[in-house]
Amino acid sequence: MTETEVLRLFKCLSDKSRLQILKSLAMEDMYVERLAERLGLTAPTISFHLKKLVEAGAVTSYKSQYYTMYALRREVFETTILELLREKSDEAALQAQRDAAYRQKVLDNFFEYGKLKSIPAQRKKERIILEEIVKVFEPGRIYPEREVNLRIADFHDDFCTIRRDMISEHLLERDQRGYWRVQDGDLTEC
Amino acid sequence: MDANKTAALRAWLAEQIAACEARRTALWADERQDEANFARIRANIFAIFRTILSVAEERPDGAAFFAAKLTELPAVWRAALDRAEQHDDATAVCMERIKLEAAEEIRIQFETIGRDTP
Repeated sequence: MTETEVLRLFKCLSDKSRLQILKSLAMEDMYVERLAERLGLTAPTISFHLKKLVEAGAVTSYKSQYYTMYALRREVFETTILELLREKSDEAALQAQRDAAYRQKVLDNFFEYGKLKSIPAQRKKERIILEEIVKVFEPGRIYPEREVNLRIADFHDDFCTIRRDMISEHLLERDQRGYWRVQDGDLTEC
Repeated sequence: MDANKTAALRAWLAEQIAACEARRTALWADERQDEANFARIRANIFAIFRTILSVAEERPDGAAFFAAKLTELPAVWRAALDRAEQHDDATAVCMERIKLEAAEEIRIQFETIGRDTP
């Protein structure tokens, strides 16, 4: 379900009459006059609401003898809200642009002529800074601690803090052999 | 138009508008926004004919003028209803039907008052 479809469905559901119609259809398929009688609304009003529910993908219709029967699209309601939230946003490209602009702004604020002016206090900003500095390490190569310190010291004197934070942010990994850069695909969610 | 008949029709229109407004408020509070909007549309039709009645009062042919408007305006709405039905526009169909129903109620009341009010 696209973001537009989700929005249309939620807007459509935020109406008591339509909710009552859906509750009735959850019990059994019904035709307009039966719903009108059951809910105390006029047939044209029921038709109006059903049309909206059909457009929103919540309800479907089929012919049965002389009647047009309406049925709940159960698969729509079996979807959890969390599943809907996990759908890719229609605005993904726009959000990516905004994220890139924000990232550049942070880099511009904290770097001057290639040197880090200060270590950001906010974790989100520090993460951006660390992601920039870690680019000096080639993926797949193991570095001794001394070389790690020297490379970080090119950016800031407090190389110990930055090195430790890179480890805690899972940008660098280490064992007895030394340090290595974590590949982008290996990054855990932080 | 006769003053008594005009006063009776004006009072009836005011009652209808008040009833529609009360219904609109209740529907809105009951989370039935679309139907609340329909109640507002119905109130607007009564309000339109209250304005037409005010104009009719000032004219020597007031009753005929009012009766003519009761034909002219519904004709426009009926045409709009036909177009909405052709395009399967459920919202417009509902709106135009509400207008036509309200206009029909006004026509019946206008004739009743014309016949029964001394």
